[in-house]
Amino acid sequence: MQDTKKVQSLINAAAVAIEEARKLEAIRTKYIAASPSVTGTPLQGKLTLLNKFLGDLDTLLNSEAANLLVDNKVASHRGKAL
Amino acid sequence: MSTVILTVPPQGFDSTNPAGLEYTNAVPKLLFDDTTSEIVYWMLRLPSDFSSAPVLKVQYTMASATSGTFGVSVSIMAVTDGDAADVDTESYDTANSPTASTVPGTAGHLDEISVTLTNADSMVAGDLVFFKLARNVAGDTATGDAEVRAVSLEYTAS
Repeated sequence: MQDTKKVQSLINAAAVAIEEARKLEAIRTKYIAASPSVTGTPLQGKLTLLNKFLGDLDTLLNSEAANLLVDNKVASHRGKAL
Repeated sequence: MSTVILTVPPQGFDSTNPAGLEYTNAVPKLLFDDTTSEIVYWMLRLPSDFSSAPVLKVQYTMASATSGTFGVSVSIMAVTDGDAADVDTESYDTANSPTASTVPGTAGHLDEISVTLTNADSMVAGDLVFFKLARNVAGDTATGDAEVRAVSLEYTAS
Protein backbone atom coordinates (compact mmCIF):
# COMPACT_ATOMS: atom_id res chain seq x y z
CA MET A 1 0.00 0.00 0.00
CA GLN A 2 1.49 3.31 -1.01
CA ASP A 3 2.00 5.72 1.85
CA THR A 4 4.32 8.49 0.80
CA LYS A 5 4.23 10.15 4.20
CA LYS A 6 5.45 7.07 6.07
CA VAL A 7 8.23 6.73 3.52
CA GLN A 8 9.10 10.40 4.02
CA SER A 9 9.23 9.95 7.79
CA LEU A 10 11.82 7.21 7.35
CA ILE A 11 13.80 9.29 4.86
CA ASN A 12 13.81 12.30 7.15
CA ALA A 13 14.80 10.29 10.24
CA ALA A 14 17.65 8.57 8.40
CA ALA A 15 18.79 11.82 6.80
CA VAL A 16 18.95 13.59 10.16
CA ALA A 17 21.01 10.73 11.62
CA ILE A 18 23.37 10.75 8.64
CA GLU A 19 23.86 14.51 8.76
CA GLU A 20 24.65 14.29 12.47
CA ALA A 21 27.09 11.42 11.96
CA ARG A 22 28.85 13.30 9.17
CA LYS A 23 29.94 15.89 11.72
CA LEU A 24 32.26 13.16 13.01
CA GLU A 25 34.32 13.50 9.82
CA ALA A 26 35.36 17.05 10.67
CA ILE A 27 36.17 16.05 14.22
CA ARG A 28 38.27 13.13 12.95
CA THR A 29 40.21 15.46 10.67
CA LYS A 30 41.05 17.72 13.60
CA TYR A 31 42.02 14.69 15.69
CA ILE A 32 44.41 13.41 13.04
CA ALA A 33 45.97 16.85 12.70
CA ALA A 34 46.44 17.05 16.46
CA SER A 35 47.82 13.48 16.61
CA PRO A 36 47.40 13.08 20.38
CA SER A 37 48.94 10.15 22.26
CA VAL A 38 46.38 7.47 23.25
CA THR A 39 48.56 6.01 26.00
CA GLY A 40 46.47 5.61 29.13
CA THR A 41 43.17 6.14 27.29
CA PRO A 42 40.51 3.58 26.26
CA LEU A 43 41.95 3.76 22.73
CA GLN A 44 45.37 2.41 23.76
CA GLY A 45 46.08 -0.66 21.62
CA LYS A 46 42.84 -0.13 19.70
CA LEU A 47 43.89 2.28 17.00
CA THR A 48 43.67 -0.29 14.22
CA LEU A 49 40.16 -1.22 15.35
CA LEU A 50 39.15 2.45 15.62
CA ASN A 51 40.56 3.38 12.24
CA LYS A 52 38.73 0.53 10.55
CA PHE A 53 35.48 1.54 12.23
CA LEU A 54 35.82 5.19 11.22
CA GLY A 55 36.86 4.25 7.71
CA ASP A 56 33.88 1.95 7.25
CA LEU A 57 31.56 4.60 8.72
CA ASP A 58 32.97 7.24 6.41
CA THR A 59 32.30 4.98 3.42
CA LEU A 60 28.72 4.39 4.55
CA LEU A 61 28.04 8.05 5.29
CA ASN A 62 29.12 9.02 1.79
CA SER A 63 27.48 6.13 -0.03
CA GLU A 64 24.83 6.39 -2.72
CA ALA A 65 22.19 5.37 -0.21
CA ALA A 66 23.24 8.01 2.30
CA ASN A 67 23.27 10.74 -0.35
CA LEU A 68 19.87 9.61 -1.60
CA LEU A 69 18.38 9.93 1.87
CA VAL A 70 19.93 13.30 2.63
CA ASP A 71 19.04 14.72 -0.79
CA ASN A 72 15.39 13.76 -0.33
CA LYS A 73 14.82 15.09 3.16
CA VAL A 74 11.76 17.36 3.22
CA ALA A 75 12.29 20.21 5.65
CA SER A 76 8.60 20.87 6.38
CA HIS A 77 7.76 17.19 6.97
CA ARG A 78 7.75 16.66 10.72
CA GLY A 79 8.26 12.91 10.66
CA LYS A 80 5.07 12.01 12.50
CA ALA A 81 3.75 9.43 10.04
CA LEU A 82 5.72 6.64 11.79
CA MET B 1 -21.73 34.70 -9.21
CA SER B 2 -20.73 36.62 -6.09
CA THR B 3 -17.62 36.31 -3.97
CA VAL B 4 -16.75 36.78 -0.31
CA ILE B 5 -13.10 36.89 0.65
CA LEU B 6 -12.00 34.83 3.67
CA THR B 7 -8.81 36.55 4.63
CA VAL B 8 -5.40 35.04 5.21
CA PRO B 9 -4.51 35.14 8.05
CA PRO B 10 -7.87 33.76 9.22
CA GLN B 11 -9.88 34.92 12.21
CA GLY B 12 -9.19 31.82 14.28
CA PHE B 13 -6.64 29.04 14.78
CA ASP B 14 -7.40 25.67 16.37
CA SER B 15 -6.22 25.65 19.98
CA THR B 16 -4.69 22.15 19.68
CA ASN B 17 -3.57 21.84 16.06
CA PRO B 18 -3.41 25.22 14.43
CA ALA B 19 -2.08 25.72 10.94
CA GLY B 20 1.18 27.61 10.89
CA LEU B 21 1.40 31.23 9.78
CA GLU B 22 4.45 32.45 7.94
CA TYR B 23 5.34 35.60 6.06
CA THR B 24 7.33 35.65 2.83
CA ASN B 25 8.09 39.01 1.27
CA ALA B 26 5.85 40.48 3.99
CA VAL B 27 2.85 38.50 2.70
CA PRO B 28 1.18 35.83 4.90
CA LYS B 29 0.53 32.19 4.07
CA LEU B 30 -0.94 29.34 6.11
CA LEU B 31 1.19 26.22 6.52
CA PHE B 32 -0.67 22.90 6.73
CA ASP B 33 1.35 19.91 7.93
CA ASP B 34 1.20 16.71 5.90
CA THR B 35 0.60 14.36 8.83
CA THR B 36 -1.28 16.26 11.54
CA SER B 37 -4.65 17.70 10.53
CA GLU B 38 -4.27 21.41 11.28
CA ILE B 39 -7.29 23.69 11.37
CA VAL B 40 -8.24 27.35 10.91
CA TYR B 41 -11.56 29.17 11.21
CA TRP B 42 -13.52 32.06 9.77
CA MET B 43 -16.83 33.59 10.79
CA LEU B 44 -19.05 36.00 8.88
CA ARG B 45 -22.60 37.12 8.26
CA LEU B 46 -23.67 35.50 5.00
CA PRO B 47 -24.45 38.30 2.54
CA SER B 48 -28.07 39.22 1.90
CA ASP B 49 -27.78 38.29 -1.77
CA PHE B 50 -26.73 34.69 -1.04
CA SER B 51 -28.99 32.25 -2.82
CA SER B 52 -27.35 28.91 -3.58
CA ALA B 53 -24.41 26.85 -4.88
CA PRO B 54 -21.69 27.82 -2.39
CA VAL B 55 -18.16 26.83 -3.41
CA LEU B 56 -15.02 27.48 -1.41
CA LYS B 57 -11.99 28.34 -3.53
CA VAL B 58 -8.63 27.52 -1.95
CA GLN B 59 -5.46 28.74 -3.64
CA TYR B 60 -2.27 27.07 -2.48
CA THR B 61 1.32 26.21 -3.25
CA MET B 62 3.47 23.36 -1.94
CA ALA B 63 6.54 24.14 0.15
CA SER B 64 8.62 21.47 -1.54
CA ALA B 65 6.46 18.66 -2.96
CA THR B 66 6.39 18.27 -6.72
CA SER B 67 4.27 15.12 -6.81
CA GLY B 68 1.37 13.58 -4.99
CA THR B 69 -1.92 15.17 -4.00
CA PHE B 70 -3.22 17.86 -1.66
CA GLY B 71 -6.71 17.69 -0.19
CA VAL B 72 -8.79 19.80 2.16
CA SER B 73 -11.79 19.29 4.39
CA VAL B 74 -14.27 22.14 4.88
CA SER B 75 -16.98 22.16 7.53
CA ILE B 76 -19.81 24.65 7.90
CA MET B 77 -21.89 25.74 10.89
CA ALA B 78 -24.76 28.16 10.22
CA VAL B 79 -26.88 29.91 12.83
CA THR B 80 -29.99 31.83 11.89
CA ASP B 81 -31.24 34.86 13.79
CA GLY B 82 -33.68 33.52 16.38
CA ASP B 83 -32.35 29.95 16.37
CA ALA B 84 -32.57 28.19 19.74
CA ALA B 85 -28.87 27.43 19.56
CA ASP B 86 -25.94 28.57 21.66
CA VAL B 87 -23.56 30.11 19.15
CA ASP B 88 -20.64 29.11 21.36
CA THR B 89 -21.54 25.42 21.06
CA GLU B 90 -19.93 23.84 18.02
CA SER B 91 -22.35 22.08 15.71
CA TYR B 92 -20.73 21.68 12.32
CA ASP B 93 -22.33 19.90 9.40
CA THR B 94 -20.61 16.88 7.84
CA ALA B 95 -17.25 17.84 6.37
CA ASN B 96 -16.95 18.47 2.64
CA SER B 97 -13.86 16.58 1.53
CA PRO B 98 -13.38 16.50 -2.23
CA THR B 99 -10.91 14.15 -3.86
CA ALA B 100 -7.39 15.44 -3.38
CA SER B 101 -5.86 17.34 -6.29
CA THR B 102 -2.52 16.61 -7.93
CA VAL B 103 -0.05 19.25 -6.84
CA PRO B 104 1.89 21.39 -9.32
CA GLY B 105 5.06 19.85 -10.69
CA THR B 106 7.14 22.72 -9.32
CA ALA B 107 7.17 23.77 -5.68
CA GLY B 108 5.86 27.28 -5.24
CA HIS B 109 3.61 27.18 -8.29
CA LEU B 110 -0.03 28.08 -7.67
CA ASP B 111 -2.97 25.71 -7.85
CA GLU B 112 -6.62 26.16 -6.88
CA ILE B 113 -9.02 23.71 -5.29
CA SER B 114 -12.78 24.11 -5.54
CA VAL B 115 -14.78 22.68 -2.66
CA THR B 116 -18.47 22.36 -3.42
CA LEU B 117 -20.20 22.93 -0.09
CA THR B 118 -22.80 20.22 -0.43
CA ASN B 119 -23.04 20.01 3.36
CA ALA B 120 -23.57 23.66 4.25
CA ASP B 121 -25.72 23.30 7.38
CA SER B 122 -28.67 24.71 5.39
CA MET B 123 -27.15 28.17 5.47
CA VAL B 124 -29.25 31.05 4.15
CA ALA B 125 -28.73 34.75 3.56
CA GLY B 126 -28.16 36.63 6.82
CA ASP B 127 -26.94 33.60 8.79
CA LEU B 128 -23.93 33.75 11.06
CA VAL B 129 -21.70 31.18 9.35
CA PHE B 130 -18.57 29.50 10.65
CA PHE B 131 -16.05 27.95 8.25
CA LYS B 132 -13.56 25.32 9.40
CA LEU B 133 -10.73 24.48 7.00
CA ALA B 134 -8.36 21.56 7.56
CA ARG B 135 -5.92 19.62 5.42
CA ASN B 136 -7.23 16.16 4.59
CA VAL B 137 -4.03 14.43 5.68
CA ALA B 138 -5.60 10.97 5.50
CA GLY B 139 -6.74 11.56 1.94
CA ASP B 140 -3.74 13.24 0.33
CA THR B 141 -0.22 12.07 -0.41
CA ALA B 142 2.04 15.09 -1.01
CA THR B 143 4.81 15.38 1.59
CA GLY B 144 5.73 18.54 3.43
CA ASP B 145 3.69 21.64 4.07
CA ALA B 146 0.90 22.95 1.88
CA GLU B 147 0.89 26.75 1.79
CA VAL B 148 -2.63 28.17 1.59
CA ARG B 149 -2.44 31.63 0.07
CA ALA B 150 -6.03 32.76 -0.46
CA VAL B 151 -9.54 31.54 0.31
CA SER B 152 -12.84 32.82 -0.99
CA LEU B 153 -16.50 31.80 -1.04
CA GLU B 154 -18.32 31.96 -4.36
CA TYR B 155 -22.07 31.57 -4.64
CA THR B 156 -25.07 32.26 -6.83
CA ALA B 157 -26.68 35.52 -5.85
CA SER B 158 -30.39 36.21 -5.76
